[in-house]
Amino acid sequence: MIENKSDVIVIGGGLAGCVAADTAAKAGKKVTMLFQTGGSTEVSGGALDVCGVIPGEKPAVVENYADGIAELVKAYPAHVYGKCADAVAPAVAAAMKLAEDGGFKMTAYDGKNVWVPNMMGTFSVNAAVSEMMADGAVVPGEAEKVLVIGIKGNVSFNAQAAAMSYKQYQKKLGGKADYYSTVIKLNGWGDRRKISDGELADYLDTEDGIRELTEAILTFCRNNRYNFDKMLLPPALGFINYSKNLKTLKEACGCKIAEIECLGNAVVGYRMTRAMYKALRAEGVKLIRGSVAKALKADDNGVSVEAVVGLTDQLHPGKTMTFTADKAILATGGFLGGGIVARHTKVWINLLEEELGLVTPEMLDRNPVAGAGQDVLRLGASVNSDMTVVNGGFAGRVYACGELLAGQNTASERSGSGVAAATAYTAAVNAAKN
Amino acid sequence: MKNTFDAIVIGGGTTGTGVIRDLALRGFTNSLLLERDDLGAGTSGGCHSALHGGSRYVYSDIQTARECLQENQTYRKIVPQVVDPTSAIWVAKTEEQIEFSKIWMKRADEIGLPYEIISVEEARECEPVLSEDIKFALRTIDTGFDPFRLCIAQAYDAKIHGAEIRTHHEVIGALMDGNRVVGLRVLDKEENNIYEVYADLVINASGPWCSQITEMAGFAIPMKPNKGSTGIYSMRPTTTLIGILRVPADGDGLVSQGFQNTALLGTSSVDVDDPDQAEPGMDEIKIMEDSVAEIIPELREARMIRMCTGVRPLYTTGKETGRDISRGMYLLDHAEMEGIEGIITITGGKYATARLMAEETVNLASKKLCGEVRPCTTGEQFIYGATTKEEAEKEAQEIHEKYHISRYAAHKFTARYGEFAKKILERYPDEAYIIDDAVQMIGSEVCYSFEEENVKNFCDLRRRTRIGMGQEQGTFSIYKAGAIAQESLGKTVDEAEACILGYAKERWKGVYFSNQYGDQLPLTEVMQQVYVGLAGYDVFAD
Amino acid sequence: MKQNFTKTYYRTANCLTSDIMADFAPVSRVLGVDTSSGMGVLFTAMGTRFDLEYVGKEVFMATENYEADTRSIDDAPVAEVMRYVRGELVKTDKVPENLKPFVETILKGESVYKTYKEYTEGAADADILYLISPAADAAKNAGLMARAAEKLGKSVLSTNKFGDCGYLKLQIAAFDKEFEPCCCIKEEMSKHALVVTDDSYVLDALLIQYPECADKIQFVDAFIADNREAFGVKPAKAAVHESGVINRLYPERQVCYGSLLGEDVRYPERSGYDVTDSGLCGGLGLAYPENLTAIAARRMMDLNSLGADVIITPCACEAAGLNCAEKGTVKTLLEYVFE
Repeated sequence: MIENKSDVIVIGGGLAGCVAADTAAKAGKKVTMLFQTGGSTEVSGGALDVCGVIPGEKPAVVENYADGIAELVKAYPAHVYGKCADAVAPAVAAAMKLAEDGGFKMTAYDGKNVWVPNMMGTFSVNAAVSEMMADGAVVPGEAEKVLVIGIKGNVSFNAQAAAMSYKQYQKKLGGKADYYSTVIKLNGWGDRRKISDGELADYLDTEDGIRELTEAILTFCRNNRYNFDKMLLPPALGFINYSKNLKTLKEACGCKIAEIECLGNAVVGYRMTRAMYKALRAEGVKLIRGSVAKALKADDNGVSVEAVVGLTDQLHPGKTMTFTADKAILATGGFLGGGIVARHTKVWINLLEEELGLVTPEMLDRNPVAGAGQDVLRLGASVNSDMTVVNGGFAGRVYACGELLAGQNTASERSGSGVAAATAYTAAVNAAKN
Repeated sequence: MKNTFDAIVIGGGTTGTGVIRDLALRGFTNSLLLERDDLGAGTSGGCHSALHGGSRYVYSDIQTARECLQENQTYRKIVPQVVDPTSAIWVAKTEEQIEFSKIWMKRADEIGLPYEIISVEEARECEPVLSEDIKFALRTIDTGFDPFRLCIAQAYDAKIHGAEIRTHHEVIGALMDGNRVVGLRVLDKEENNIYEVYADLVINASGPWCSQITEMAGFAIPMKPNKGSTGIYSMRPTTTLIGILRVPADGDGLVSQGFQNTALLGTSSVDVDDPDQAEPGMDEIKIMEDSVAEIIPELREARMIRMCTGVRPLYTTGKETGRDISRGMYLLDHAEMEGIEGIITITGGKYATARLMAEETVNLASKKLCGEVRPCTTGEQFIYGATTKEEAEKEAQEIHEKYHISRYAAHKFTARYGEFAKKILERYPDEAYIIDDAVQMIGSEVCYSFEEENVKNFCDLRRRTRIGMGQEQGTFSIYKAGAIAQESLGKTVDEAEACILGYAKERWKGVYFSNQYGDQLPLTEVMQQVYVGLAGYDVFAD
Repeated sequence: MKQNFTKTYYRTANCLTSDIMADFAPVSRVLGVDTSSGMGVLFTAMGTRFDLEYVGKEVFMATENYEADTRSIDDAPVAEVMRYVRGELVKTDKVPENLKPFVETILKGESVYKTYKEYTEGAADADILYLISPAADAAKNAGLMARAAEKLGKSVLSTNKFGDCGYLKLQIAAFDKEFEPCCCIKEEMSKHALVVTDDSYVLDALLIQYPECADKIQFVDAFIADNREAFGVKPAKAAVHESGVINRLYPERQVCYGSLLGEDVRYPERSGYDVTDSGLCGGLGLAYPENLTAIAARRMMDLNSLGADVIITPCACEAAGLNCAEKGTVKTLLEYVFE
């Protein structure tokens, strides 16, 4: 039986939704989380970026994210960080703790940003990374020998090209490492030529799989006169046993081991979201996975959310249920997550019945990698400083957070996780007040 | 580099490549084709991807309709594997449209265009997206095809018969000897080197740019460049081409592209001044979408992945504009018209009639070059790599089994390369895996097209292989092509970066407009997260 | 009942990241052939609708999250697209040659399970109608259910004569054809106060076709949970393989195994919404038996590693699938409680 009464309803299952639910639960509230999937966090890279770059004609790289946030708010006065800058540190700590409680360990660097190698052959900036990536961070000035290992058939990561690229792009970050590459052949899938990250991770979750990989790397090292300080692997060391596998490899190889960062693979986002769900469940949060909120109402007595529960298609209409609570927090994501909808020149937010107007050419840059970024991504819901939605029809009981909000361009700023965590944290702290 | 030719063709679209093929097949093998960008990069690449069977022009231009019908049959014969014989369903909803259908059918009977009246139920059974309140439907022939691949095939057919193809070589001046064009000044855009070439005859097939060429020889051609904006939908809501039976107006149809997993809404008709500055108009797209929504009501829910525009080379003699001008072909003998020898221009026409245009052009060229009209065989001979459909299917099955490539990818692959398909994989077996899941493009193609098909960058690569033309617009595939270029083609990191970003910028052009429409904002968010957020090209690229 | 193509199309058109088909499953690894990725299959299916036969193999392949669109963050109805393609292939006679006998069997209304024998026992006007999984040993299960009914002081009619109640026909979108046996199902159900099935796919088929009867249809675990005291369910150090159909499609029917079997119940990491299926998938898995064995073996590896005394699943079809792997024995909940 599904219970439908609680203190706080959180809509959305990505990072923002999880932090909001966690914060409200820790404040002693009974929390129900309604969500379809992990949203864009489900295909994310499993790292936390808070503020890495100040967009502009000449984008400026940020060393210490707290300083960066101040700069960002100066450059973009409507930036949502302006409403929650103080919450960033506790919120990031809370997000890390939540993931860790579910088995997904993360490392932060005292407010400093680090650059980790990625699937594109460049480096990505983050404030905290999962333990799987931590060893990969560029250490400026360090003349390390780094071996980039590809797995034959795992075509979403080309080790040789990546090593060539890392060697060049690290210069901008003060890196002095030497990158080598090799491709290791595993036999776990017969003579197939191509294996996706997901299939590889599934294989490495088995004892046979991790044994074969470890032995293959050791064989390579035995026949090699070089000793490597660090080895980089594709982001596929398992859906489930990743942490254990990392330890096994580190012990066997006696050097640093890291996965590279990626986006859009099925593995890393799975690990992170499922770890957070596990921790939330342990805290007593009611997670209703596979549910879609269709309507939101609020008045002085409370909020009610109409949601369809269960995966739906034409043969499965799902079950429509009404959930009630004192407060609701929306963490439904941006354009990709589905919180903001755009069609036939109109842009709007479904649950808030808020229209965001037209997309004009001024919001778009003709250069897809322009330093100033695409301002269209700054569209979103307007909130007050306590994260309640500006839209007056909700009796001050509805909060919004994350990518759904207006003001930030999380791609150009590398601020997605920080914005998600800090706004969610602020929203939940305020929602938990009576 | 050779600098003296019998004939030089300017323009690498379907007309130019058709002409050089015809020249080569008639024995004028000492010929050169110059293209300032890439094969199929201009008007030809911006077309509908439908080799119209004539039904579109039955009312407005019966001559063009007749030619389309005839040429449609020819293409099915000479490049069977590149052509997808889809059909078209034309529907009527209002009394007026039903009246129009009677005229349409009468004209179709006159030119022998095959069609059959089908019941509304049957039409809706075939195309469930059609509105319930349509009153009348008929089915006729039409053909989907890959416009880039056909240009490329024509060009390489000429090449294997001895002609020379130079892409990214731009004509920047005419060499005159009195009233005679004797040669051209050419910019090699890769080396930034300017050189001269000489020929007995220059054939100007540069489409909407053809007046810019003749102006170098001192005279203008009265062209009315006319843009046609199109919107591309993700996936195909219909299997056939769908149109409304009515007097042709802007945006009268939805084309399910036979050779792609997209559908196209087109096409508007707006005069432009400079063909290089043409951009799709939001209003045009909206008008077309609203118009087609009359018969496909939920069309506004579909996702338009990009918008683009192609410029028609319409030739005018008077003051008429847009749709009034004939889409028929014009062969201009400037010796007779302006008294300038050594140059002729072929313009106007349809993609579907390009072979016929080439035939007429080379008839004249042949007379000028050797005093007689050598017989044309372009309508009988297979084009470069062409195999029969059966042969292509058999090879696809073998490729599927040997390389473990999905059947669909193998099928598309053999359609692109015909008899060369297997050799490509044999030559580059290490890259024989799919790198673009949306269009199912194979890694080996990157190597082959760079080494054998004059590809200079990833925009060219796209025209050969369709990479990134699917739902994700290259977001998850183009970096893989970059890695192959580095690993297997010896490209440097900088060169690979230039390829990747050059491609991203070109793709963005279409997505940029879709974004204003709203439909592509989710993809834009992903694309920005991948290219900027993850890859940091805003910071790393020079 | 018919799938509306238009709805399928417009919902799928927004697909950007759906990568479930091959990515999360060991299927293609086992086949030794690159199937397209999930995105590739969807794009082919909905994009080039001339070429549906080219994904003929993939759309008949049961993956380990078969009914799930769980890997799709963009709301693409993967299972629905697959049903659509199967339907079109059947309609246009383009079913892959090797699968034709399988499809024929379904169309004729015969069972795809080789062990299936029609079996009925009990009074025609019994209180409970028990629809036995067509994948199960009917006589044995009927015996177990008879014990259950006896403890409740009720009568039961146990039968598998409706086979899968049309589940596989729905899966090949043979909606237009009459469901010969199914026409009688509703009539049969109307004669009984309660309908219980131990096959989650049969449950799905019933709820799709007879939503108006939903209140009187129970899955076996809910039936047992409702009567746990009367049945005297013993606690167990059990590894539980849940039903994906329940968890993903009918979450409101979930049963708390902790309160049913005690605190020592354990689940594999992939449980709840993420539960991986046995590979049998209501019979569809028999289209590619080698996949079925591989998926079942993979799931058994996870279940065995939990160190439990017994592996339990409520669904008799899932149990049959998992037991194909021959990597240990899975008991159905009914067997555990009444044997």
